[in-house]
Amino acid sequence: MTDEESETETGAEVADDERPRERMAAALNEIRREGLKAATIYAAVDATLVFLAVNLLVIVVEPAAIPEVLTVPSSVTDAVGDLLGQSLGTVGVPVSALLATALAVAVFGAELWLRSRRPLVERFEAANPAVAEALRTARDTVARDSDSRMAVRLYEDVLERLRDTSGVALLDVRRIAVTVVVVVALSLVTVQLAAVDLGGGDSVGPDGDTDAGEDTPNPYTGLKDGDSVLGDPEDIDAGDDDLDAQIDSSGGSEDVDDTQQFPSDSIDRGSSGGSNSADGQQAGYAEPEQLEDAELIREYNLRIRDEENT
Amino acid sequence: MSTDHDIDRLQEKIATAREEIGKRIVGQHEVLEGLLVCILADGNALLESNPGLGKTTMVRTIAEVTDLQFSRVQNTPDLMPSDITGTEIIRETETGREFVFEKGPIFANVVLADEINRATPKTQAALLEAMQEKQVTAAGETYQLPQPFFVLATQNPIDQSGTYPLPEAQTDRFMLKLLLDYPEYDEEQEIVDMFTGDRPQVPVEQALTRAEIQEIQQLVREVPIADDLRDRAIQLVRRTREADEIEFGASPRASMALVLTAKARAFLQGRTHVASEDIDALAPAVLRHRIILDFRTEREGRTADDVIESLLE
Repeated sequence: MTDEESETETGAEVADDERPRERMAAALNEIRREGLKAATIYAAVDATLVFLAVNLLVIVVEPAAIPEVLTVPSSVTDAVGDLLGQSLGTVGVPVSALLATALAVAVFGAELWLRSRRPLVERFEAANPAVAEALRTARDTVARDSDSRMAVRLYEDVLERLRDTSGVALLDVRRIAVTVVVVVALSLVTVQLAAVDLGGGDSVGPDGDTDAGEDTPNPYTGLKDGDSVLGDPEDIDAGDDDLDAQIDSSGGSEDVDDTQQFPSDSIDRGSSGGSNSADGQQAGYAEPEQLEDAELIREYNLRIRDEENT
Repeated sequence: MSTDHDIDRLQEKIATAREEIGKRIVGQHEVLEGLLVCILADGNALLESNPGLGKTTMVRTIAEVTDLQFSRVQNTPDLMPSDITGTEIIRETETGREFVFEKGPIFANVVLADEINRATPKTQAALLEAMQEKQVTAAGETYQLPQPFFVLATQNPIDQSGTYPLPEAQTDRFMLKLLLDYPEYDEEQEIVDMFTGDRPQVPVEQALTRAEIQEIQQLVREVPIADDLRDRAIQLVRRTREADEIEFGASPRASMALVLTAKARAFLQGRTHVASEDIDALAPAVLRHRIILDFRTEREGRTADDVIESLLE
């Protein structure tokens, strides 16, 4: 809504061959439309602000009661997929975005309704005090259907003066600017959060993804799956070095008399089961394994280490 | 029917008339504007001042500039109503004697009722019908007064001796009450020079005709007024009936007078609509003679204008 647009819309474009009262009535309708435009701008800006604020709030707070993603019913995705000619598969929508959109639409509708209920011409008069009194009089005179000589003269006078008015005055530019600045700031924060999430979002959690932050101790102490305990499975060939291992049993009821021969002659206590570790080879498993299997492997490894220690 | 061009021409003529009046009347701009407003609104005006301030000269000059028939009534305690309205006399004709109505000085376009508060209430009442109805009834006959018709009455301040206060019913019929004050020093110098030189009477030219004045009066009634301004005028008048400072408030006639004079002022100033400043400017002149102050307010030394100003805030 520029000055030029509003100048042409507030009366000047009305056909000259119409009677002055009709032209005045048309100009008043244009002014009402200008008021609606201003109301729409306010509502749109405020709705954008609400969308970003709510979206950000839900992402940061992560309320337990709200699921992270809402799966779109297959009936819907199938129907859309049929229309598009390709399968969409399972589609999930972030709940934060859904909630923010719903609130933003509500704010937009409510503000537009409230602002459009206010007397729009009166607001235009308040925004253009130079023409306010004449316009107010012309409005009342049109409402009385007056076509008297002085009324016609008033209409012509007001229509002429309306050329110098602007619908932009209906907008509180300062308020709009502040809102836009807040919107931009919220947008930047949202983008920043999304970028951080992409780069390191899998650093922690019970699923055991440990790609990031090896230096950072994992606070999770519960049961972990196989990948978490053993790392990525590798194909390991038998090592070239033979080690002799001497295993002393303890705590058992019977001493072990026979020297048992293992594939290795000895155990290097300093080695921790790197990529060539026989332990690792024995404990390896094929993904995906059940969690119970991982528990057994963990138990097995612990027992071997206990025996090594003793 | 006047076109837009005609309205411009009439407003230019009004401006010319004001200039002509200004040639003879020094200062008193507000009073002059009030008188013109009263004429354009087709009302009667009451001028109050001490003697010697040029009330008569002012009214006579307006009559000259506007091509209106002028007559003057000098009110005295022994003035009879028939001395103003006229009376029937017996006149000898070829067919015999017959009663003929001899018109009094009221039969003019502009009647200057000088020092009206020196006349008795009975004589003052004789002006009532003429002022309101624009007609005179004598001996069972009703006579229409010439159009346009204005009574411009002057009075001395009430507290001077030998005066009869105008009854409320009569003061209500004056659209405006205008107060003349003493001129400034430089204005008084100019007045002295003007009227003591070799040309004791400064000539003025006629700028408006009777027909044009009547045309303007019609246009004034057509001047649009916003609903909120009309309501403001009405509420102001109604507040005079409720204010503690006022014992007796103004009548609905005051509401009508306030709106109509506001329209006339707007037209006089070349505007196409009534502005709030018109209401503010004319409220004292419309209301000051229509209200009676409470005795406590008078004891505090406040005038009607003070109270009206507080009601306007």
